[in-house]
Amino acid sequence: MKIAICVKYVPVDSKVQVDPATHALIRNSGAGEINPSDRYAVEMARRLKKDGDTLDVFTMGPADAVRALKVVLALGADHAYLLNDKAFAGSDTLGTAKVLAAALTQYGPYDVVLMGSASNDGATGQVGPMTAELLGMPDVTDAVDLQIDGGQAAVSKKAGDSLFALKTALPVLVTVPFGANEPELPTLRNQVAANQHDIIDVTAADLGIAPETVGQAGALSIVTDTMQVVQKKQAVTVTGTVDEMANKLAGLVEGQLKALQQGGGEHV
Amino acid sequence: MSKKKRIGIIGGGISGTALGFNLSLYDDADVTLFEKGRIGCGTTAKSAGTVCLFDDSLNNRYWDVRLYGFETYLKMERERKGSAGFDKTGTLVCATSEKEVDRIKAGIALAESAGYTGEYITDKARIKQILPMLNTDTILGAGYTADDGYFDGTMISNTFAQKMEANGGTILRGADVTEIVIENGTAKGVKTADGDRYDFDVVVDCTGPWSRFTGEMAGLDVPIWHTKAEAFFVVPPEKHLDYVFPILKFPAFYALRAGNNIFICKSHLSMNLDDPMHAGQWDPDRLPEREGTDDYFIDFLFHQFEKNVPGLTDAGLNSSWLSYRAETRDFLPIVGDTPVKNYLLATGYGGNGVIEAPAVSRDLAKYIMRGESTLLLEEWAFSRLLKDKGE
Amino acid sequence: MSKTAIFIWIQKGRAADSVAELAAAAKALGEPAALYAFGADATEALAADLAYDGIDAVHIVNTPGLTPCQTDGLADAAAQVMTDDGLATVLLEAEAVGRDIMSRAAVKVGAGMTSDCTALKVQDGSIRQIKPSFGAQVMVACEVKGTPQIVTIKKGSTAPADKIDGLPVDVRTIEAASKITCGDVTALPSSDHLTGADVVVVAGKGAIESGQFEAVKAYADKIGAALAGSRPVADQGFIPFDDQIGESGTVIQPKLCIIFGVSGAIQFTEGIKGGGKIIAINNDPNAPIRGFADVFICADMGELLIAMNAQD
Repeated sequence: MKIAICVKYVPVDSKVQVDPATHALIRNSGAGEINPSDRYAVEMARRLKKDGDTLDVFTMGPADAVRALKVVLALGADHAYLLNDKAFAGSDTLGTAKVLAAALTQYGPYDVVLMGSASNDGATGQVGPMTAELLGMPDVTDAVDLQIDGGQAAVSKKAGDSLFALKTALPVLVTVPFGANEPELPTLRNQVAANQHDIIDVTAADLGIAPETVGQAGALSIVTDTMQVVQKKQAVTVTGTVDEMANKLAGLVEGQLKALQQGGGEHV
Repeated sequence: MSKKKRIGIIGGGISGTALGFNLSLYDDADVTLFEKGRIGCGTTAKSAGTVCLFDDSLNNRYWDVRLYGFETYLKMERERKGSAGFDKTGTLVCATSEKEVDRIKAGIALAESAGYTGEYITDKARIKQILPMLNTDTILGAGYTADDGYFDGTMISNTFAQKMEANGGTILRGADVTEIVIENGTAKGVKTADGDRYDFDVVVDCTGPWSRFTGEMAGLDVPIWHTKAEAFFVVPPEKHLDYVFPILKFPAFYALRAGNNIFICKSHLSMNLDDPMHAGQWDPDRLPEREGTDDYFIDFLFHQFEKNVPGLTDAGLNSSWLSYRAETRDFLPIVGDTPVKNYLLATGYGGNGVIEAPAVSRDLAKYIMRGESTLLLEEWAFSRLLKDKGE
Repeated sequence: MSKTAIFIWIQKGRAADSVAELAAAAKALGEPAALYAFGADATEALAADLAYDGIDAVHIVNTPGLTPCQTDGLADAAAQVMTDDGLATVLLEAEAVGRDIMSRAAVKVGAGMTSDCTALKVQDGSIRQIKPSFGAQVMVACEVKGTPQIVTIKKGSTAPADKIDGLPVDVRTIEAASKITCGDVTALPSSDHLTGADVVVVAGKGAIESGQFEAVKAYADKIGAALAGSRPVADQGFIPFDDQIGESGTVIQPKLCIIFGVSGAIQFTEGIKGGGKIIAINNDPNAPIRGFADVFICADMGELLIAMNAQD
């Protein structure tokens, strides 16, 4: 079986500022990490992989996104692809999906494609389904379990407070939410070895992608402005007598729990 | 009615809070501390808290400083459990050379002299009982004390802050000092980002790695460098250890337990301030809370463990962070007067802030309030660095 | 036929409660929108419940045999409707089902798609969408180039429109296939690890110092939340270290987190990410957690918990 996992290298820091003149984002530091949800997708891929299967990891990003690939190599990936090209910069979700789908087609065909359900920075959750559509395969988002048997996938999907048992023939694209499993961590030994592993650099030309169809040039959804909100976040304060505060708190919690049941609830 | 002396402290980490507390013990002191973020949540939050009984991070010339820090925090714990975040794991200091054996034995003698237990163990089987995952073939022996452990700099800072406020001191949280008011070469007060002005008789910089920037506000060149302190949290292969992992010290690194995980950090020995891999002058505001360690650090850890603690080569890498230690050329703090009148420093602790702050603050508070100096203040005076400069 | 549309999916047991807000959002854009209700359970009988001020027509699109999990088939239906009816702008609620379906549909019809807008307005002939980013430190203005455009709107962003009646209704059936088959739906079992929990209750040092740990635990059980703690709580053995929140412990991304008696030092707050709703209870009005939480209650934990555990 050929398994593919797509990961994203996201900024670490929680502090961002907007340059008042240029309205550009000022990232406090250059540090990045593998998108937290992706770790659970990687774990699902790792558990799927049996003798004879291959696991390939892809990331679209700048040069230092290679650090995300190295984590997955340390967890057993066979090949690592860095999709890096100036033309890819500024892609919207559709542009990202186009690049990923092109790479997955070029180096595939894959039986299973995995990704995290959403990234910590963009958090749209769109790239998974868009990539699946471009690849002509069905997708299941927020999968907390995946079993493959004889070309058939059995997926447990989390939605609200319910678990849906779904089945589909391969190939399938599956996205995995934060907390779906307990990820194995890369060991020091494996990480040192993985840091020596080859990385395959892939450009737009390698994928036969016309630059104007992706990146900033090809984006249909664009950011036109960025504005700083409050410098110091202050919580909404609940006041009153103890009973009044207890009632307000109970009401707040109840509302949130209800929204969660229905598959909503707060998320970025 | 004599007027109180007004002191403004910039920085609410271990340095500022310890000083604020000590000043608040004088009823003729009116202390205000400015912290732009949260108390003890900057550089202090990334400290390991190893105020160890025997350790080479601070020369034994200053043993009294170390002992005073250790006992201050033990008393804090006795007053209120958890207020210094003490985890009494014991410490195992490994000797890989005869020179180290001598040093460790001297350290044990000092600890015993102060009434603590300590022994130098050559029986490898016993050492392995204390720490099963250690490779005892690479060491000559190890010093051990069960009385030791590590503390929590953030807890300690908050405890000092609470005591300071209980004594009538003022802490302004979320207050960013953006200007130091200097008139005729004398510090007169500070201004914050909110535009408020505060008048002081004495202003003290306790901002650690930010001291260059703070100093600029006073027209002072503060000669600190940043050395990189990389740290990793790893998960032992056994997941849950059935013994207490002691603080483990080797020349190049030290390790201690953090819950079920193990925290590992590089020692600040042999840091070359002119080597860009080790040190530079950076912006602490740009440090991320997590990640940011250089790739070489993983290789370094692997080789150290392969040799000395093979049980950890298959530990899971959980998370990492990078911190800056504010170091001076001689790796000792800068405390006290500067060429700018009434502008003082209590900075450059170089990763030893948790160890050094209690003794320094005790002495500095007395100096500020009574004009009486001490041997410590004289050795750690700013003037020594001025003499070195230009040579 | 208007070119702006609202898409909803009829899900069993769930009222289409997002319609009122979406109608108001459409109205604010300046032209009436047509509402399209998709699903195997979408029938003409529902139409009257879907009429709100801002909508000028209700279209029932019956998709036989398709459940909301069968997003490939539902995306076909959505794309077909967009093409057949010449829809320029489609508004939908920012939630998982619609997002999954319309992401696929966006590819089919070549539409730009934004996500999670909290405000919309028309500016120079295009729709300017405002959305929070980076945990709401920054607001970002987005636009979609060209048509069609797909816009997802966060629930709670718009004041709901009033109910109206007398809207024209039409019904169509779209037979779309799905490669996915749906089996049982069961209750989600509570996660056996903290990171998998959507709702987490945290006990801090304040809870153990005031002897309230058991009360906090009881409250967690009552609302079906996972129980976690800050470092002192783990150090003192009230919870296992696996359940300690923090940089050196476990990092969680709960949708709802209720924190009792934690001061809010950085080592703790770095353990909670993901932009969920955070409610903090502490009797110290200066506790730094106040700058981290969304809602802060300055109260005696013991009294509050008695009042809360007593409620049914």
